[in-house]
Amino acid sequence: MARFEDRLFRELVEQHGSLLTEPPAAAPVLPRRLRRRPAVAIALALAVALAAIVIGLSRGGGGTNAYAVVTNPDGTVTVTISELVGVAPADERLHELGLPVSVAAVTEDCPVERSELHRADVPPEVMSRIVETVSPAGRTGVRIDPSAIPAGDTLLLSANERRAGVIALRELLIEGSAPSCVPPGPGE
Amino acid sequence: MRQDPLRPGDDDDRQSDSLNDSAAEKPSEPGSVDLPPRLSAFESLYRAQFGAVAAYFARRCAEPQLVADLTTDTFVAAIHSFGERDLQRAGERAWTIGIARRVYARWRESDPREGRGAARPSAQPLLDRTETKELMWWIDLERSSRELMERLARMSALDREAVELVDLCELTPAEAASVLGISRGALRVRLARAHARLRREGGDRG
Repeated sequence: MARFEDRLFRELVEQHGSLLTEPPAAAPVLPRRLRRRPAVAIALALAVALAAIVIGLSRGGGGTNAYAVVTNPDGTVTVTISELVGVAPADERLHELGLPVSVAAVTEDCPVERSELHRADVPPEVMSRIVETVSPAGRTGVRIDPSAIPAGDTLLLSANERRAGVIALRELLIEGSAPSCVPPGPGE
Repeated sequence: MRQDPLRPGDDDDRQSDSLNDSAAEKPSEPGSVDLPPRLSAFESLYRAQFGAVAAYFARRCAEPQLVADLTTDTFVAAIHSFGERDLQRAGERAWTIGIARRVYARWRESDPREGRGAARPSAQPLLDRTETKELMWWIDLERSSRELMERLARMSALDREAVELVDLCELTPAEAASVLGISRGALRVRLARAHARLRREGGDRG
């Protein structure tokens, strides 16, 4: 057996093994798990309640589920758009939250030129910290870490209805503020 | 992202359809001391995944001490989260690589010389000569994988990681999708795109 592999395992057991040797039910030191669980449960309940409130506030009129802007406990924000009608209220909600994030619909008659959008120059690994694709409840959306967005930049989410009921979200980090619409890009 | 880097599986948005847990069935080394059941289970995971974790860091760092430190950080995090892991959400390889990925991301964020494989003040005892050789072995072993990683560097971060997790870490596409927090469909698209690009640029691994 390899030496480092063995030494590390011995040290893990010596220094942290008690985490796995104390019986969860009858340990005298109980309890990390028991101490933490109420806190975790409360935090979870609060998070669920908050998410429910935010989703409730965020949903479009008429009982539709056009969009959701959910503030996560870790400071990230999850945005989903399932109908174009949800773009404007989602954008408004993001602005209410004071986040440098905008949502704009891709429209044929948008007067903005794509060349007017000045892409912020950030390495791919920074971009991947800022935004990632997620699928909450089977719907496609993005999770954003606002703290990773460089000062002065805006994360622009362009929502394009590829076909009825299918919204594609693209993210673009731009310098300055975002336009209210986005012209179609190549292939859009 | 700001989620706790050491707790894979906290992300409620991840796919939960991966279960490829053959590693967990690996028995402990013969002759090992009788351990309490949970510690024994952890040892099984440790023995099965040590190589994958060491290789993960050996693809990124050329210094044995740094590979040792990051590997240590990963398993310290693993032993702390061991009782809370959810194998319905990810197999043990995916769970462990998920921790390694976060440990590495956190290190890059904290080290101003990120990406250069630079050393940091080590929190771990220095390696002796034999241990250094052992870690150098992993680093040498991953040399060809590092070359692939360099070719992947021109791709998006997600495409790059999709290839690494599936082709090098040997996760299933479902597990890789879970680690990356994307759908399996999106993972397949990224993987196909990356493979096509690799082929175009001259020679695929396969």
